[in-house]
Amino acid sequence: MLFRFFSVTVIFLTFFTFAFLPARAESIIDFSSADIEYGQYLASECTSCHLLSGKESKIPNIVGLEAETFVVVLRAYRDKHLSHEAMQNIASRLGDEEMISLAIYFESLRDEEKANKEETY
Amino acid sequence: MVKLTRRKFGKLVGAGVAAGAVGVPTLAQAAIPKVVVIGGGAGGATAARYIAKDSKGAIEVTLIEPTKKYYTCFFSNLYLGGVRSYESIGHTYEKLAYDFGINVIHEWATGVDRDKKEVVLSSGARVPYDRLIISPGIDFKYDSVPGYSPESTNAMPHAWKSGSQVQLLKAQVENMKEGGTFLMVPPPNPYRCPPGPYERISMVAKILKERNPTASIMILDTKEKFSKQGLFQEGWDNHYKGMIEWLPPSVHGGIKNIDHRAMSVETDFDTFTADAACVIPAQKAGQIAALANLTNEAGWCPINPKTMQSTMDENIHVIGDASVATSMPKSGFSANSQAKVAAMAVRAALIGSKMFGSKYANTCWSLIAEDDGIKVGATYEGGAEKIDVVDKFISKTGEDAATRKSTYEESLGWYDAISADMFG
Repeated sequence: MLFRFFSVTVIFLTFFTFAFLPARAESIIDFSSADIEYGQYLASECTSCHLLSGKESKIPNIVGLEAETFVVVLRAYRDKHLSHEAMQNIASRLGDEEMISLAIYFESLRDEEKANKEETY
Repeated sequence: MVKLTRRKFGKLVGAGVAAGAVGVPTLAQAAIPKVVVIGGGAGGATAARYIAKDSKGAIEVTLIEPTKKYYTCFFSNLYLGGVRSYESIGHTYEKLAYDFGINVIHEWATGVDRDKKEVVLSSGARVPYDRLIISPGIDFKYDSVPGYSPESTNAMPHAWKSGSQVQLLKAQVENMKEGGTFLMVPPPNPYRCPPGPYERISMVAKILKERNPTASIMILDTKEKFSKQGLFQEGWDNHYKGMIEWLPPSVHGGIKNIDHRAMSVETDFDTFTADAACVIPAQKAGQIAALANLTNEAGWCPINPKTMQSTMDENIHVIGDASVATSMPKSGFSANSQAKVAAMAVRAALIGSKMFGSKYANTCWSLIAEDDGIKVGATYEGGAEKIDVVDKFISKTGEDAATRKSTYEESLGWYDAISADMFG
């Protein structure tokens, strides 16, 4: 039930954000200083729990997530608008630079995920 | 996606000098730095994979692990309790070999020549390294429990390294006589997996409640308190009322002698006999760490909190249970976390890649009964003297069933992810 609540919350938050958010090119989140190599290093902490393969899991999939959504959700954990103590702890030690770097790294895996799925037919 | 194996990298390098002098080793091939990893568990497998993956063929990685199929210690209690199959906690090394080009050698490392920077294998072969990562897990101080020895481990398994010992213990519990007694002697601190013995008690109680409800459980502890104690005791009261008794040393006066033939444990207070038993002795770093002279007086390996380098040899990193990684507990999650910091430090040292801040994390999940899961965890940072806690969390007593079920299900997701993180 908690997982369903979390999913609904993410969907709600995402919708709410994008209803008032300009298009990506004029996003209020500044991705200009994002470092994908830094994001890859930081992602090593995430992959202990979040499956990189994108397969179904009880822990939400974050591979290929839209970068803005990724940052919005992490900020929600950091600000304790979303409950989950481990995620709140993890998010609270991520600054803006870390969050945007992680976001663009995980977004970049979207094409890889698609390519992987195409290869194995 | 092209999977860059060492073979493919070698071909790429070879093609680059095909037009050049024949028989002359390429500069790149001669200079490829070498990393050897001893131990293919949560620490070693992760370290080997991350170094191979992130160096993209620029570092030659060898993994030395005697067992061909690795059964995780974490989740072995769930198998014991009938919640997981034995095969679901077993993993093999072919992806590390094929997808990541890691040289997997199924032998024991019997020594480390630190001057020559070579690992000696049980076959006598020697494997050179520029950097060595040791993740050997634990070994037992058998004589910490008077009367207990390797010969006791069939009658009274420790089952603290997974594998067939857990299968044995499960069979012994399931075949206990009606109304019999299960006895456990948990280890003193520090040891692998602080809540583990008490999760094991919970899983034994689960089996007995189902199959042998008049049986009882006695815990003769070697310490005055244990991890998540309030949570476990509340859970035992809720699910297994009257079945479990826990005695600390201040009550039983200390373990005086164990006789595995008589299945008895003598304390100052009384002599207890068991129909099935689990005795987990005090622990130390896996023996290869001692053979390499990397251990302190207590038998564990002190490390640099920012890089996991041994304080006794800058070319060797020690990760996982064997390391003194205070404030982190000894757990699979911790080993996997430490492996990533070590991998980063090794790559920075050997090929000049970026070195970021040393961040660590751990979460320990424990299952008390079906769908009743609890957890404890923290985030950490490599400090000046030790690994420091940044933030921590723990389940609360009185949580509702939905929360506990969600906690348990989360652990299932974690297991899938960490297995993939370790083995590919």
